[in-house]
Amino acid sequence: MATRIHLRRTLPLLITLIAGVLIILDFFVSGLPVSSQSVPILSKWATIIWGFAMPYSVLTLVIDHLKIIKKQTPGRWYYSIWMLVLIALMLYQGFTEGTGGDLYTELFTYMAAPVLSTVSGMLGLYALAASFRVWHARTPEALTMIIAGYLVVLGIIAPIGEIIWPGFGPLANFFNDYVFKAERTVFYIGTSVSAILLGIRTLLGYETYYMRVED
Amino acid sequence: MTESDGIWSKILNLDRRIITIVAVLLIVWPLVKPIGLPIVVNKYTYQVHDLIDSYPEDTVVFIDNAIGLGYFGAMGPAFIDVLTHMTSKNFKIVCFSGLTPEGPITFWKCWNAVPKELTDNYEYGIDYVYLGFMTGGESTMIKAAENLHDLFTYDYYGTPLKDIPLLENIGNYEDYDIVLYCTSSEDYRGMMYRIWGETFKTNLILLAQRAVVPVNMIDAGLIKGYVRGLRGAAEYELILKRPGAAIAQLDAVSMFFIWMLGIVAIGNIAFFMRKREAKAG
Amino acid sequence: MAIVPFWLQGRTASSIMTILLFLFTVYLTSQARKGKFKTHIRELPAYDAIEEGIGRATEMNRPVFWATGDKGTLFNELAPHVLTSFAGLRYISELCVKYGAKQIVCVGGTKGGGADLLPYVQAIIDEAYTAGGKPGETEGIVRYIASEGSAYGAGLQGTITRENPAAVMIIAPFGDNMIPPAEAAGRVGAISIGGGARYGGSMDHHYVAFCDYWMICDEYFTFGALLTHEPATEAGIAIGDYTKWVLIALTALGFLFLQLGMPFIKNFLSMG
Repeated sequence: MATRIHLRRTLPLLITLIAGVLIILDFFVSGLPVSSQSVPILSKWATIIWGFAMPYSVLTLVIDHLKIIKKQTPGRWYYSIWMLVLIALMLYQGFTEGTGGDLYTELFTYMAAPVLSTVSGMLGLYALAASFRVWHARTPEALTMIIAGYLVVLGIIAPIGEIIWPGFGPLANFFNDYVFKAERTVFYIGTSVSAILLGIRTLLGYETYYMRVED
Repeated sequence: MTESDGIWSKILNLDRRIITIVAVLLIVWPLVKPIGLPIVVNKYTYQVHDLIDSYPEDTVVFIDNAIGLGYFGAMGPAFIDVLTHMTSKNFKIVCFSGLTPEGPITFWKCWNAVPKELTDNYEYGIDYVYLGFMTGGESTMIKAAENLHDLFTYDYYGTPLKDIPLLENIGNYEDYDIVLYCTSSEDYRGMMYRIWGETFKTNLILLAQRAVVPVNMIDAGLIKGYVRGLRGAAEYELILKRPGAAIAQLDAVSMFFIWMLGIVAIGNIAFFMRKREAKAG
Repeated sequence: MAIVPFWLQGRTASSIMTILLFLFTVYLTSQARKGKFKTHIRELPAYDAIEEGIGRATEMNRPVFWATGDKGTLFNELAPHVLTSFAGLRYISELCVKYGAKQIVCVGGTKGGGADLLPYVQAIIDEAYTAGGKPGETEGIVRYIASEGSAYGAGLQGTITRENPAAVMIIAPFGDNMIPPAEAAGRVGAISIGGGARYGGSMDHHYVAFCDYWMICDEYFTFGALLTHEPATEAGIAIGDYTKWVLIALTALGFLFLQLGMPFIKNFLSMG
């Protein structure tokens, strides 16, 4: 039992370390036989695993919605039927004519595209309603954020800003070129360093929460 | 008077449907009756235009089209304008979609929106080719840069790559004079900077939605130009003197944002007035 | 194929930094495990708010809502962000089991991004409930919404509106599609806790604007470290801080020497 648990903990860590070191080695020393030959294989394996994950998620979706139809959940079961019909139609089209087929393109262009555009567009309306509710200058930081928002809108996005006052454009460009640039750089460096260190800790086996094994 | 009774509380509790309906009306009005607000062209849009303009005929451009259907309205015009510019200069175009399966649909939508007098001169396989969608993220992108013929065996129409005249001598990053990455999301930008900008040191131009230009990336030389969403597309149309969808939509964008700024101001005034009344009461 | 080492690829500075970080991590972690290195991590209000939110959910008999981000997968540069969000999910699930709160976990994402996360999320929930003495009570907790970002955001909003959670936790790599669930959380009167550190297209301003509590940039990774309470992990956070101090010093000195006509720091850093 102790040996099994030991293997269950050590083996994944070993695989993580070897795969990680090979990829890092390939990045820093290209052409090294051990890494340059194994890294493309590792990438293909990753793509294959991802490829298997996709049908699994479709299956889960179908099962979830079949349960809703069986229970006849009020207000939802008919949408689930429609969803399953569309999944079946897309699958049929994909398997028979492939993604270049006319029906596939038409389904995307005349059904998916308007729906996706609408849902994406509604994000703006949600943001609008939420801004009214929460964007109050309760603290100096909130006030700074509101001022920055005004500046970006009037100086960069909406041409009407430059009609209200021509100085908005140059002011926004100044903030873009110096203030936002500094903020972006600091943010990139800060989060990149943290992400690199998390990666190093994961490779070295110090972070194991993704594969906890109960003793 | 309690905090919840006054006019300011009523304003703060305004039904969001009213806010939304007014926003929709303000968006629709300039689309029906254009206002024609003047647009000032930004230096970063000029930068992209001048870079493309500096290249001669037959320049090879490698494009990764990652514009999704949901944001096609925002990013489509930018891609159409840049394609218009490139086709007006008879650039050779090699395009694929590495990051979104909707890429083939949005590519053809954009290609078909380029003025016919320009695309009529373009012959498929000789002047432009579309390779289709290929998944795989970073490994796909590295392969596309190192050897396109290893990544794709057939193009979008099923023609073997070896039978496509345009790709006879084109296969890796050294053959691409310009690399164009068009995206409607923030995914994979870091990957593109790393691969095309830093590793292979190509002339990467980015078409993306963010209004704030990534100046740090431009200064670091990782990208050579940036077209920022619908505003950038409208500016590009002005430079090309070909008014299109972006200029038409920008008035609506202005109206929406003026309403947004207005209600944020009203919300703040109501918030502070309500606090003052509560203190006084 | 010829072997090309990093100094010929223009990656000298980044290679040296990576090697030093490796060595420093090993050294400081071993010191921390021996008890010779101690550090203090400042409080994160959002971290404390999680247990508060779950307690509130138990009292009000409303569920706790958690969602994977619509941008993160384990196959892109946001994999560390996803792993941190998994650590958060494990912690939240264990607390839900402890307090007896109902839990709803939504999975999905852009370009099939949720597909590869679904098995992990299910396994984390199963393990947390098994460890808490409630094996098999995980039916209906994990829900796969959609693999397209906008559809996922709309699905999250619909789920929150229908299920009326008391706490909404969107501590994961999200894009614009965190706005619908955050806004819905406000409408149903739920406490909202957001967290993220995407450097490509930062949503920090959205978390700050729309959530009641937030963890942004380094706080997000620090949150992952706080969950383990291990000296080694806390040492890792300290290493990050020291690294940033070194970078600040390099930047300042580089700028100073550049003004004095000595660009050697700039030249060295420009080598990679």
